[in-house]
Amino acid sequence: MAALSSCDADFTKINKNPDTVYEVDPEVFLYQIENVMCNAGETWSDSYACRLRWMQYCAGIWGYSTTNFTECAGFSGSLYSNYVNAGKYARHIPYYVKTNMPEQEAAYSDLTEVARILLITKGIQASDVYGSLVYTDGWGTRNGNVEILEPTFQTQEELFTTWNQELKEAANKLSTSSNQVTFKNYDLAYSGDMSKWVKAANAVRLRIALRLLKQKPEEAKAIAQEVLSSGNIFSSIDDSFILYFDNYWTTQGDWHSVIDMDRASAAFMAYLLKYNDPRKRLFFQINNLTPENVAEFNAKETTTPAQVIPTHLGRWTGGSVSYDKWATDSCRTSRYLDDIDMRPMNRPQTRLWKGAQDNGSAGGWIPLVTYADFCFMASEFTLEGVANSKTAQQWYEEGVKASLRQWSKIADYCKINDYEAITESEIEAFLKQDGIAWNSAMAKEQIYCQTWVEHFKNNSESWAMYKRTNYPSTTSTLVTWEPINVYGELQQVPRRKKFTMPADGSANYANQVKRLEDMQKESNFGRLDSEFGRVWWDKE
Amino acid sequence: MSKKLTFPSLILLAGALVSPLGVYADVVPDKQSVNISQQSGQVTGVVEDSMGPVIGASVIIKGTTSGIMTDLDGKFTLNDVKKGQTLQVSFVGYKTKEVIYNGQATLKIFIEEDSQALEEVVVTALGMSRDKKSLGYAMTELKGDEIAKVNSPNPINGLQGKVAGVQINMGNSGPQSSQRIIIRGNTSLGGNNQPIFVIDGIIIDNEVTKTGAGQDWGNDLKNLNADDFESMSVLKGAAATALYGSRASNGVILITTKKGRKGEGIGVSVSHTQQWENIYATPDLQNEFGSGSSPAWALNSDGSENRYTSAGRSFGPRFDGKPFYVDGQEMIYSAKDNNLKNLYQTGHYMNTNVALQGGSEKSAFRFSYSNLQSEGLTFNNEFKRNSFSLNASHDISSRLKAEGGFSYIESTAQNPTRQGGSGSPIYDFMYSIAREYDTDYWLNNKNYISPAGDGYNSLDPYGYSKTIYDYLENIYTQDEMSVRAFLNLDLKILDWLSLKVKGDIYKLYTTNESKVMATGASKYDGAAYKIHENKKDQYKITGMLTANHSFDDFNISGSVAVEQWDTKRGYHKTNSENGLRVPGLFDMTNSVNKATTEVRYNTDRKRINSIYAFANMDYKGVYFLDITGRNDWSSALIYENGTGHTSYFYPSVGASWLFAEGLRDAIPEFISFGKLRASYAIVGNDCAPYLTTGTGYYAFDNTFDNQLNGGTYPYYKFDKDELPNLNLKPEKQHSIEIGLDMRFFKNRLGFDFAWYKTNTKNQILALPIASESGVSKRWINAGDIQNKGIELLITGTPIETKDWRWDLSFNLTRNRNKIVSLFEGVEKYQLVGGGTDTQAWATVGGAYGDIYTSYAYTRNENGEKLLNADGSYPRSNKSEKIGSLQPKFLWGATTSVSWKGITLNAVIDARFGGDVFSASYYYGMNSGNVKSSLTGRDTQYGGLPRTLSDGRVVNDGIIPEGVFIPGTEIKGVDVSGKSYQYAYDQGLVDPLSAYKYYDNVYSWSGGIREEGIHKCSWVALREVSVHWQLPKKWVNKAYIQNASIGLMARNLGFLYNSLPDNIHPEGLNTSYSSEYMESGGAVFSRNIGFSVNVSF
Repeated sequence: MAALSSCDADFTKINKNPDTVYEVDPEVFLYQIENVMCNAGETWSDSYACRLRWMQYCAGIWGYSTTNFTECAGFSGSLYSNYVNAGKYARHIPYYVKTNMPEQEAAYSDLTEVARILLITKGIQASDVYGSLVYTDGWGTRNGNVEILEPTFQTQEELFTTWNQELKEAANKLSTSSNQVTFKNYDLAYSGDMSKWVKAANAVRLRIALRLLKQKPEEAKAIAQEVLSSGNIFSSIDDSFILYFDNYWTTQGDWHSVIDMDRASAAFMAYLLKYNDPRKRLFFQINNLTPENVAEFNAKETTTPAQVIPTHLGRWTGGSVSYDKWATDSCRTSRYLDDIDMRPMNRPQTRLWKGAQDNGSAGGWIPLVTYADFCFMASEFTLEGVANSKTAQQWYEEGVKASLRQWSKIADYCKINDYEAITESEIEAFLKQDGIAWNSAMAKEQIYCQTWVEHFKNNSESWAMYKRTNYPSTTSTLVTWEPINVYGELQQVPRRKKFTMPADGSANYANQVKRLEDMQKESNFGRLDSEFGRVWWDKE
Repeated sequence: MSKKLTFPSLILLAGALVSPLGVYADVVPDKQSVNISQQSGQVTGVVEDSMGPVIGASVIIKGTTSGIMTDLDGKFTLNDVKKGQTLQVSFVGYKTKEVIYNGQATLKIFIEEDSQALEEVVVTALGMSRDKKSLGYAMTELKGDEIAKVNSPNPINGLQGKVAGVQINMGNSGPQSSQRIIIRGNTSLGGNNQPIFVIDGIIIDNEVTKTGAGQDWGNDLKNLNADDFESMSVLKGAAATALYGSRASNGVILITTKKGRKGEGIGVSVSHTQQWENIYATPDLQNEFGSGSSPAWALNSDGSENRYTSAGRSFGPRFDGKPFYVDGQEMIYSAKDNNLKNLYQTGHYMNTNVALQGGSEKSAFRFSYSNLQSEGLTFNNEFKRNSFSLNASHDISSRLKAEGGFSYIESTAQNPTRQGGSGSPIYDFMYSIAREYDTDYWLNNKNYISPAGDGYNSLDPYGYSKTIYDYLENIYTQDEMSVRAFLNLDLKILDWLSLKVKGDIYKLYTTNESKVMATGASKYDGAAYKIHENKKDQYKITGMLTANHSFDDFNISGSVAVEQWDTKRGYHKTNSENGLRVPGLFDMTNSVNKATTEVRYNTDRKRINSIYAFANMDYKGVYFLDITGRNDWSSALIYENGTGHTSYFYPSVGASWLFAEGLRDAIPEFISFGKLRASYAIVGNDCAPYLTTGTGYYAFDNTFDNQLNGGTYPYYKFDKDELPNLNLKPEKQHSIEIGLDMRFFKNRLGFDFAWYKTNTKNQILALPIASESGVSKRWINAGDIQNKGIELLITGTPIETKDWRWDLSFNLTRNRNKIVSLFEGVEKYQLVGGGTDTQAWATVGGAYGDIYTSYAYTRNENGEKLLNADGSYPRSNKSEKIGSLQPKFLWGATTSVSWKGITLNAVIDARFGGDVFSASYYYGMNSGNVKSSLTGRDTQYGGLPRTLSDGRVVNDGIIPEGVFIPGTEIKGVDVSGKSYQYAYDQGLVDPLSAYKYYDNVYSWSGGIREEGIHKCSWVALREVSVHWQLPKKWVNKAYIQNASIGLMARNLGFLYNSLPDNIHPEGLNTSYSSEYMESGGAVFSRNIGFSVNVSF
């Protein structure tokens, strides 16, 4: 048989995939993490199909089965895989450096910490929906620890403790590191400015603190105190933790269409009109209901009585989110005047969501923690008694201004249709109005209202706020939601994922079961398969 | 031999070593086969069968070597025939006839067809012709004309119902789609249990291409042209397939093509087939209720009906033919009974073949051209094919023979039907499209296009215009070019020793072109142009030395061969990005953003080197023994560092005993034939290329632009998301088979029985692991899957006279599957396929494909369904077995009645037992479109009165079956364990509205999945055909040798179907062997047509 050893002579060459690459720059992994902070699938299934409607920004997605308010298009599946993928690459960076370039381990400390901050940011979103997650034990198999084939889950409480600690260490390392390999072209948030990453780490800590406020108020305030007095906090919109992507970003593997995405809701448009909020023109595109068009349409022979456009409908109109009203909601009815879209509800500025929309050349972006967002969080903590250099009012006003400035800047970046920058005088005027101007009697509602508006795109945060504060609601005044009915049943906003016991025999079965059983022990968790149950921080 | 010697050189060396022998050998003079010496009486005659003269029959004087073939008129002339000598007339497929010569000047000899074909010569592994009776294993061969009789666009469908042990599911994406073929059960836990196809020795892949909701373009098999088939053999057990090595572990379907015959002169044959395909049924839909959730319209303040609604489910009021408004559109509220049928057209299939064949004494050739054109049942679905095939052989010398073949096939498929789930017409009309949907309205005048003409019409409140638009305006095609070629050289070195050198290539080039006008409703949103090209290049070279020897009654022939098989692929994908600038201009330069391209050649390479040997022995023509052994070296099993179990050996042994002949004296006369056979075989298998390498490394992903600072940068991904196995072993499949073949009463009645047991061990498969671990699967060598089964074929000829003949055959298959073991610590393995929150599992101790769901009913200890207080059902939330995909048994029956030249054939095909999950039924019940969902919706359907909030009474009340969960309290009364009926009788609860009831049971979000499981048993009348061979005396006057006319009908109907609401039992969602889910797949359609064959 010795002679037959020639029978596999060329085999190693034949069986080598020409696509395999054996060495790379560790910074290339950073893009993989940034890319999954929110991808097309997640935008569709979580933001477009669910939260825009749940949070009543928009009136309900087009061309999609709509009779189910709470279970939308595979809600949260992409979010979870994005978290897992972020972890895979974030944990691989230090492993790769250690294995392939051990002499440079210290020089890649910044890259490792930046990846960690991104992973934790995604982790918070994932935990909002899933509760317990794999974190500390995770992703070890890829790095050669085969014994961690079945990683254990950590409770949300444990996760928050760990994440807060790790973010604190990350901020510390980033501010003290030296002789680092630069990766500025792969840093889509700050182009290699580590001082801003330190601030971002602190901002994410403040986010964790706010989640903790109900379950562990003292610890939450202690974290806020530490962050706000650290000296490394956001001070302008230039510090905002936003990732900027290229024009192709949401076009890759992007099967949905933002054209079909949604239209303005009645509640949101009512708010935008009531306070003449300058962000209205940045969020939505003006409709085609000019008096001439309306008259011409209504006079058309083919126009049925049901299609006639009521003359009170103006250029800015929101539609009902409630399915039961759709059939009769004149704002929603589809109409065409030749090829002019005469549907009254305003179409969103689609390029805010997809830079390439309508042949747009703008880039993509995702807000993680904006300066405005930070200000509103700080304002609330200040109200809660966390003393710092600003008053709650100052934080609030700074937040409102920051939000308007940020959106004005972003809308320009996105090259939206009919762009018109927000002027400082508009900001002044906006802030002077009753309801917007600081009113300590309704300070929290004001903070929440503005947070809700700010989070139009980062709506996983408005959803988190809704769960924490029950704001907005059908009884709130600055913005007032409508009750949502589907086939006569009043709908509730889901609070988490519906869980099912994993199939016996599926991967990591024992840990999965333990995770669900542990969560079920929490008093507010509710029925396993109820989307109205609560994760740990979402205390009643 | 030197270690540096590469494998092909082994083959060449083998040739070189024997070639000098060949030169010497050629000097040895030939023995003359026909010897004419004495001058004596001359006899002329004609040989005829029931049809007329028989050409090419051999007539010899018994006991001599003198003989001749009949000519084109069936005539022969023989000299030197002495009175009293016997003339023996034989012809393939006919009973040998003996006539004693009594001095007649002319003879008319009548021969009869031997349909029992016990002397049948069949084509077996490696294309070897063998006496069927000598085989130690079961096989079934269909002759080309049998396949041609049904002339299905896809010849594989012609096997349905005819072969024991074989289960075939038709594709349902149009004429180009692929079938699911399972031979003797599911042996592999992977999704593919398809047999390979071997055509003239060239191995053709039979990949699973139908993998879900998309379009099925079919696999390589659609490029096989049945017009050229001489025979098609189904090799079932490992003993039959062992010589094909690795890839034959799921069985082999062996095809030999027609060749020209030496010494026949030039002949031309023409055939034409024309078929029409019509749908004759759809699933049963209700036509009484339209969109809405309440059987009564809401009332306006003035008491009039508020006839506004939104498209949703069909639980609205009874149709009344009056106007109503859907999302603001005015329509008439009446059912459009045929709205689903109107989406289909008459399919059409046309195939024309011209073949030219001829042969001189030393050469023969056959050249054929076929043109196939077919239109599917759904709009724009087409399949066209042109096939050219040339086979030629030449005797270079008496000792060196050459044979070659070349075929070129090009085909184009367009817009396959979307086969399951959204986009499948049946699924959509059962699930999401209301009964009042006016398909014709949206189709007429292209109303499905938006008013501006720039996308689908979003005014269609039901949203179906989007799907119609995709079928009609977006064009998706797949062009294929397939080339097969082979050359065999056969050198007779010595009388008992020969050398064969064979080479073949197989190339397949496919080009997918997508011309997407739009997928959105305006501004040509979603417009795209895509070109995806794939190529596959394979070759095989073989050198084989064969020796024969006879020792009195003992014959032995043995061969040793070396072989190399090599495959590689390449692809090229270019996609427009972000739409097209000029609508409808399909050119990459018209892409809004720069088109992206991905190209790779020479990838997916694999090489298998083999050495094999086999010997066939027989003693007295009564005892037969076959032994084979094969060693493969597969490149796929080597690791980056050069280690790995690349080499694997597997043997087979098969024996048969013709006991009726051996014990002729001891066995009663009525037993005309008896054979006992047994075999044992092992087949080894490797894995996909690159499976053992690349893990832990990286691959280019894409580039991105830095939007803030400019510049373009690459990013990389993990090459593989898996944990490698550093000790991967080749798979081994062990099978044992015992068979008994007996015929009685001069072969008028017979049976062939087989029992088999197959164990697949060390299966190479990916075991899913928690993605949070950093990888999502690991490679293992798994366990032991056992298939045990019986196959029974009963044949009979109740009538056999000179003019009449009636044949019957009946086959039965029963396969039992058991998972003996999987992997250490692993008790369950999830199989591919299924969905809708159900899964098929292989469970240790259970069978392949037990169906489970976590959304079953929750039941109490008495087995009663538990109810929530609101009448909904709590889900089990733990995995419960709800069915099995394994059929209990399959059977098929064929019959043929012939009178002179007219033959009537019929085939019945049936399956009993096993389950299917019907997603279209399940969601159709949720939507209220399926007929069964009428139950409880009005008094006539058992509905109970129920009062609406405004005081009106409607009659769609339903009492759900079941008892309340312990601890349930309604209106202060503890109803734990009490039925809903009890609570209703006590006045505690109202009946549920039909809408609510069907939502509770069948909704996606809260429903109970076990309601979607149904027994899948059916009996199909698969084909009926009439074939008329025109009498020779008629046609010969027109210089026609042979002419026949056929009428055929396929898939005439189901004589029995256990599925509810007339759901097609064969419309599986994918062709994975573990598939059990139907989601709208097949439509009931029937093919009817005719064919004409003429040869000159």
